[in-house]
Amino acid sequence: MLAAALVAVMVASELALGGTKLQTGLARALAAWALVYLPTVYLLAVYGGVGPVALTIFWGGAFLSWFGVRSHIESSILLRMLAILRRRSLTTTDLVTEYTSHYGKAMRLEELLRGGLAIKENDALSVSPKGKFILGVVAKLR
Amino acid sequence: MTAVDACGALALLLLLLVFYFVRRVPVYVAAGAAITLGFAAATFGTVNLATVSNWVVMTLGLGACTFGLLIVRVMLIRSVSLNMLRGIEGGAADVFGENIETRPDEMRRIGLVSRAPSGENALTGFGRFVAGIVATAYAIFRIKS
Repeated sequence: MLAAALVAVMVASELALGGTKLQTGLARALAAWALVYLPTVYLLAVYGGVGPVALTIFWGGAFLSWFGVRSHIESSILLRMLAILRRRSLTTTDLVTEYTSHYGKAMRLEELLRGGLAIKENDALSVSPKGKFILGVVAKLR
Repeated sequence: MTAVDACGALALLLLLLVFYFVRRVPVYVAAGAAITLGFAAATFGTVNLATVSNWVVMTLGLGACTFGLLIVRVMLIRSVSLNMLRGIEGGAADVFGENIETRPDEMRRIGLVSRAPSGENALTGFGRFVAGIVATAYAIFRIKS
């Protein structure tokens, strides 16, 4: 039952993300996890002998693991380079050039702007209040 | 709340404190594993047929929390986007290039690629295996490659 719930929530998360990056659609993914959690906690308590405390701890851990792995697969430079090298062997310079031409700084910047973490005004970049909040949290946890 | 639930909640609290105070990854991994295994060992004696599912889910949950927080810590340290955001805030010089140029060396160190006599980086057998998994994950998650 728990395995089925995990598969369901991962499918629901993908549908909620709809092809957008996790950074941009995190709130929607969180909503999907909350939505699937509610029937799961009820069904497991009634039929599975699993209490809400155990399930809540499990669900939190599963979400963190999913978020970490999903985000890593999506953004990892190393994995992208592996995918490029799977197509053909390249020198280090060509590999870096190929990577930056497709997944480089401009794309990352666009994601920061789309996610509302950075603001561009009159060609000048600055960090949004949301971005400052995240940087504050990161500074405390890094 | 049962005794196993209370112990599990206490173990989670301990894990969160360790995550907050311990910044070195190997120490965090060791402490996280010790907390999860400590919980399992300390509560195993109370388990019976009626409560075994709850105990298994709790133990798996603590393991998942340890693993999830580990990935979050690694992301906080290595994330290029976060480093870029920090660079924008501090008006720092471009940090993007230096983040990328270290990766091919890293891949060689891990044994994912080897350098051919021509100077090209080629995937090793292990590298091809990992790259296959990555390609499958990209397809499942609909990530453009």
